[in-house]
Amino acid sequence: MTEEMLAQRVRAAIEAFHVPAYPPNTTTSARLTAVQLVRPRHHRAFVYAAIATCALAIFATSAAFAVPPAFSDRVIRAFESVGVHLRGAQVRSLDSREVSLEEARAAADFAVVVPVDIRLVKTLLTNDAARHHVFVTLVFEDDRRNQLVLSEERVNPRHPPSHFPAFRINNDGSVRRLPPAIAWRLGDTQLQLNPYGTASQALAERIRRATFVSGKSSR
Amino acid sequence: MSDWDPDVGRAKNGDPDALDRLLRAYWPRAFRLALGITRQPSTAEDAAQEALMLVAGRLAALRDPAAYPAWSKRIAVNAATSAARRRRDHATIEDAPTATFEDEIADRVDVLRALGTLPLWLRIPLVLRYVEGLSSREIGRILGAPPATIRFRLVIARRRLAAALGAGDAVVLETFA
Repeated sequence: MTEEMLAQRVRAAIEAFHVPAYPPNTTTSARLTAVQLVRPRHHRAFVYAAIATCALAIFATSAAFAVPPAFSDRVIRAFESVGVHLRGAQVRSLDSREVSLEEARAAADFAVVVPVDIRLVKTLLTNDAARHHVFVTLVFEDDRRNQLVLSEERVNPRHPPSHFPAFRINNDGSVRRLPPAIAWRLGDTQLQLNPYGTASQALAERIRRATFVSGKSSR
Repeated sequence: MSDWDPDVGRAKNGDPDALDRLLRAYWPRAFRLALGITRQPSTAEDAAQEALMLVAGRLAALRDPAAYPAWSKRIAVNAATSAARRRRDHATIEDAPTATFEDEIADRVDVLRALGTLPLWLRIPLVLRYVEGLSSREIGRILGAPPATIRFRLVIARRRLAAALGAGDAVVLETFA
């Protein structure tokens, strides 16, 4: 028996049955009439409504994140354990983005110092809109893939260099105070490094020396 | 297939005459598909009615009118599969057409009985192939399976059907398109 013969037998067996009349019965007929009376759904309007709802939700979510939240009790307790009192502290929202070195130099209102002979991995420009202040953050890497972050900002030359404490917040919520930052000045630019670990200390020293060389040559 | 498109578009927009024409044309196809799957005319009629109602009720939600043939067949297959499963809960697989029916049309009954020996995952692609004349790709689109899977199922289904009809190994093995 070929496939065609088999198909014909099946087809014949099915088609030999009398197809019931349409509409099948009064109930179905009535139900079909009821279905026809229902206006078709306007999908485009539904899609627009869904898009508007989503946009509103996204706007509300971003607005909620844009307002700096107060520190939670847990965060305050964690920082108090390392001697930092956050109660009453103001939270600032900073806008940070990766830029090229040329863009950073154009945006900064101070001379951005780039240490010579050390590989620059990336440049970040941070804008503190509340204080109308710009930071430039340079990430460097040595031959052993150790990375270190150098922050630069404009300061008033009459004020002494400020030393901001550095912390690491662990995944379990605990806070660890990092070794003190190294801060120095070149003209009206304050530079700051936060080395932790022996390898970072060595790289930090290289960066610091190199900035003096770069600073002299740029002047 | 493209004959459907104008009426599908009109019916989607609420034209009752277009919907009526569409359902009139759909009714025999849905019934035959359901009959091949359920093997019982009364069950097939119920399943076809259910498919008819679903098509009428959900047509407005169909985005692409060109997808109507595959979409409507899928609805018929799903309705028939549900009906066949419900019937299996209440009757044995051998509980097929009535005795008087058997006397009248013995061959038809043999074929339906033979179809009944196939599980639904083999019976449905076979009915779509033999009754609707669809390719493996089209069947795959309706059942949501790759064409290679459908080809495999068709080969197995054909062998089992031939064996059930007493043709055994004499069936010429051909490759399904």
